[in-house]
Amino acid sequence: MSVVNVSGFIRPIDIATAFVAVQQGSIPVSGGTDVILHEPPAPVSLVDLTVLPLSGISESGDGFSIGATTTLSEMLEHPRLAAHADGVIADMLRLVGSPLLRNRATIGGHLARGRLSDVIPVLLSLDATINWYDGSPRAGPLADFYASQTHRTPLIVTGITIPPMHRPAAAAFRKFSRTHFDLAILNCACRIDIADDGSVAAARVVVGETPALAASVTDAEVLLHGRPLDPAAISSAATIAAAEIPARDDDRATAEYRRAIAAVLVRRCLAEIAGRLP
Amino acid sequence: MNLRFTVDGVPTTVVIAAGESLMDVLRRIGKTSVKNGCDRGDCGSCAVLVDGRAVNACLVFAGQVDGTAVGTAEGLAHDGELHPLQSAAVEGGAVQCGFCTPGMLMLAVDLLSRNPEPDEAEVRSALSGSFCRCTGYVKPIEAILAAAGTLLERRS
Ligand SMILES: Cc1cc2nc3c(=O)[nH]c(=O)nc-3n(C[C@H](O)[C@H](O)[C@H](O)COP(=O)(O)OP(=O)(O)OC[C@H]3O[C@@H](n4cnc5c(N)ncnc54)[C@H](O)[C@@H]3O)c2cc1C
Ligand code: FES
Ligand code: FES
Repeated sequence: MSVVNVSGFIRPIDIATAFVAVQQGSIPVSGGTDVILHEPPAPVSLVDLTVLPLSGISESGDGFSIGATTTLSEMLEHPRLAAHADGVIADMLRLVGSPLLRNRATIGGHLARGRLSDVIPVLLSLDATINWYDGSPRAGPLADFYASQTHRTPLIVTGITIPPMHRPAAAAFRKFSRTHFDLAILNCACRIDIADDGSVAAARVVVGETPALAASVTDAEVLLHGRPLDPAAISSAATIAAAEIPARDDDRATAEYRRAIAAVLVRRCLAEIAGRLP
Repeated sequence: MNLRFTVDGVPTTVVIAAGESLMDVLRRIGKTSVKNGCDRGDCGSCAVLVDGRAVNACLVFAGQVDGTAVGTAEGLAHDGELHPLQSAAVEGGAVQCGFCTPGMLMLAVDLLSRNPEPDEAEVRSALSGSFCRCTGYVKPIEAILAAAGTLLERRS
């Protein structure tokens, strides 16, 4: 969809130049799949981030580092990343739009957009960190990046890091939508790490599209901690999630409907995880 | 601003508006096989290749494809001979009104370049996001599988 109110197109020579332009009100563009659908109220310039060396996936002891302009398809086609965390990243990415969209949409653009997302819950459940540039290079937990509203300030997302899983651990994702091509009415990502004594050492229960941005259901995580992941624990966590999520009505579903779905998705994710754990 | 790229192998320079979509630019220079079905990424009828990967041309700013190679369905036939994907679509009854066909062909080129021997499930998932209101998808899927076979035979 051509955008009319565009007064200039900047190909920055480096990230500092790109950031200055963004600070002065220009719109950063990666895949552009979201930018191109929104007509700005007044003429602005676009800053093309895909000309910067921000693309690629590497793996080290710290986990996977993924550059901001890496496409969702490139993530899906990276065999080690696709296999990571029981394949939860790949399972989720296959449900994001279409192959055509994923060939263009980037992880940095997706995370900077910070709404309507199947990707964010999964990355939150895996304790991902995000890297960005706001005059200096910064890094911090993805959860804090959204909780502190940092994503709304002028910055350039430069990449993410997904830490290794500490086994035994397992992860799962569920998206509830009319068809998988549609945006989610609700989604859920969970990850459980197990201690030597068989109890839960770390729990992540993340619910998104409430329709607020995805966030941990802290009370459910606290409940799961330190006990076995048995049917009683799963059922209690699901009940807590249904009650605690900040559910609201919007054009896709009512709050009441979302709470009912939340209980089901949390139960399904945790049951799938329980089935995968030793 | 100037956009310099190759379109179906031909070096091309066009003056574009900074906010123009690749779909609008391609149609403006005569590549009307690139169909505008929805102009918002839902239907896939505008699919083209950018450096070998199929994308929704309506979701791409033309300014971003400077220096790339863009491929449309109009570049598939050579010296009057149809590409195996085109022949398979014609012979297999995969074209009815034809509105979706150019986009599906470009998706299929991308798929077969990475996965020369897809199974039916892989073709189906590659086609998700590419809408056809006529054929019910069965014939296009069969055509892509048949073309994959022809291309493999030619290579061996
Ligand atoms: C048809 C369609 C279907 C979709 N279906 C799904 C779905 O099922 N599930 C899902 O989760 N999502 C879905 N989406 C959303 C899609 O995932 C996002 O549009 C995409 O990931 C955005 O990435 P991009 O690189 O194209 O971002 P862009 O459009 O380039 O940018 C998005 C936003 O981030 C800003 N920005 C871009 N890059 C950066 C950066 N590096 N640093 C700071 N700011 C930046 C831009 O200014 C803009 O505000 C769908 C979108 C479409 C069009
Ligand atoms: S016109 Fe581009 S996807 Fe429909
Ligand atoms: S043949 Fe008519 S839309 Fe596909």
